[in-house]
Amino acid sequence: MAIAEDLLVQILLLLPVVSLLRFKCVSKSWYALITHQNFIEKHLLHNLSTSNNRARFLAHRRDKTTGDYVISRLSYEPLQVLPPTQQPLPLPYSGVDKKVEVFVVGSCNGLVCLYDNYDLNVVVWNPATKETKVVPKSTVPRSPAAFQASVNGIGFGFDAKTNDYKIIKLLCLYDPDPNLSYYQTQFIDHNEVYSLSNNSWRKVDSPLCHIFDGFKGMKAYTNGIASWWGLCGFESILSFDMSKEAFLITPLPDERMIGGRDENWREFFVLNEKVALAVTIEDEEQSETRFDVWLLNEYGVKESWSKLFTLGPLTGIRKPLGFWKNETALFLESSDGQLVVYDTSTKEISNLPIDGEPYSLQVITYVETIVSVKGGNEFEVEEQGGS
Amino acid sequence: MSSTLCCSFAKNVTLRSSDGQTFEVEEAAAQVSQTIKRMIEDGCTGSVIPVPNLTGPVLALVIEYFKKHSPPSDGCPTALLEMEIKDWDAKFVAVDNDTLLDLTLAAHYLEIQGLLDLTCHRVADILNDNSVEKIREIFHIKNDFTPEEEAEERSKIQWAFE
Repeated sequence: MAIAEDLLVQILLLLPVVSLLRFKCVSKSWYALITHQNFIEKHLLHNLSTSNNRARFLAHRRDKTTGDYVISRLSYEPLQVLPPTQQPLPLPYSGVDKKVEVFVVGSCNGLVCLYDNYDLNVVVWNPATKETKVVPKSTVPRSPAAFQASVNGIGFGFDAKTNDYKIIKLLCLYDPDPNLSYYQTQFIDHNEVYSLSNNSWRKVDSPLCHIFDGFKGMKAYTNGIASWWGLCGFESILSFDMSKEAFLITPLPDERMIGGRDENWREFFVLNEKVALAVTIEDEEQSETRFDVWLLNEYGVKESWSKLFTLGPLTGIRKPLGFWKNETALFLESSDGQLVVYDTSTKEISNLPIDGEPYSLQVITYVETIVSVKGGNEFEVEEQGGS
Repeated sequence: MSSTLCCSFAKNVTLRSSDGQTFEVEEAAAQVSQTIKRMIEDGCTGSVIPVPNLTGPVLALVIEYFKKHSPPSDGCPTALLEMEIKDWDAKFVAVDNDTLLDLTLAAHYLEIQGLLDLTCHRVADILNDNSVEKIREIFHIKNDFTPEEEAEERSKIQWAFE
């Protein structure tokens, strides 16, 4: 008996990724259906809209005993670690040298972008399908050619207009001449965007900013806009629109409101699809920490920052990692590298069975999909990926 | 007696299956199906509504579902708790695979959203638990891959079969 395709689609949408991968082998028509862009998008939207027992967060960290990086998948409600309790990162990031730190740049539509502090690789990875793509090195000419490049920032996102995934690298070119002092050295901003469907890098212009901490990835990513923390004449977030390929600067609230950045460290994450800023205020005498949480309502408009609430004072907490459920519950990293959840209404802290080397923990919003790491031109990319 | 009194105004319709069996059912209950509802509203059905895509036994099952899920009319509350209906639903789709597929197709054709969700989830659960070979059997699908093609495809995602 023939089952109508739209009915079959309704049924297949309910299946987890691992089953869909197996069922590509049922027949040629099932294969065509499951690998079709249309179905992949429907499956993504379905998984975003249902509160099923699928992974909605990834917890990335360096294991305390082995020193290897691992990730765990967490479901949304109930919040729990899904089996297998942890999995290693893919090659070339499985089992890295002690001095190499691996960061999750960001996650978008089930694809995860990985990067390291030595600029060894950029990897796009779908943990659900286990597909991996090592992004090719840039061949964009850099001028002056004798200058060396250091990476100030990196971002990963989706351009909904062209249906393409992009990586942006914020580079700084400098004269490597050892006889020059820092103040004599010339620095040139040079930024490059990689398109997954074209599998190539090209140059984009940007405003002059000094980015803090940006090689670890984005501070926030929402609605196709990546943001980093930096100095663009004044303390700001620098944002990049993946579709327009345009930069935007938003000054942070005045220092009289949030204190200086040397005393009060900033963390950023996403709340209700907006950029949130958590200002860390430490009371060393009491060994307590408070976090003032601000929300940016409009990119580019300094006045649109509004203070939402103050978290704490809390003890034994290193930093906030992101929101779990709206503003009512947050992920935090404790001083000893444990992942904890803080309920803002009951003020209770509960431990999750995840810990790692201090400062290595990252929590990323995630959705399980069958989106391919190969981008638009599957065959073209496959050839180059194999070389 | 009171139930006879309060329900005496309920209007019935007759449904006819592909093999010519006829079933009488309350109009309100049959309107759980959007397809039948439209046919009644269009007023061009005559005294008997044909349901040519369903055989008698399947239509009989669907009518059972109608009765359990018909909206409560004034004075005739279907006093089943939600939990009871849920239990009943679970039992209703705990049938052999062929019957389940028939019910799924019927729910799709007759646009019975509740039954469609129910059967699709049940089919998905069954798919999840079964091998590729078994799924071909359940859906009566012919494997049109050559052995080499299938082996190659499987080798790419070996881990998913473990």
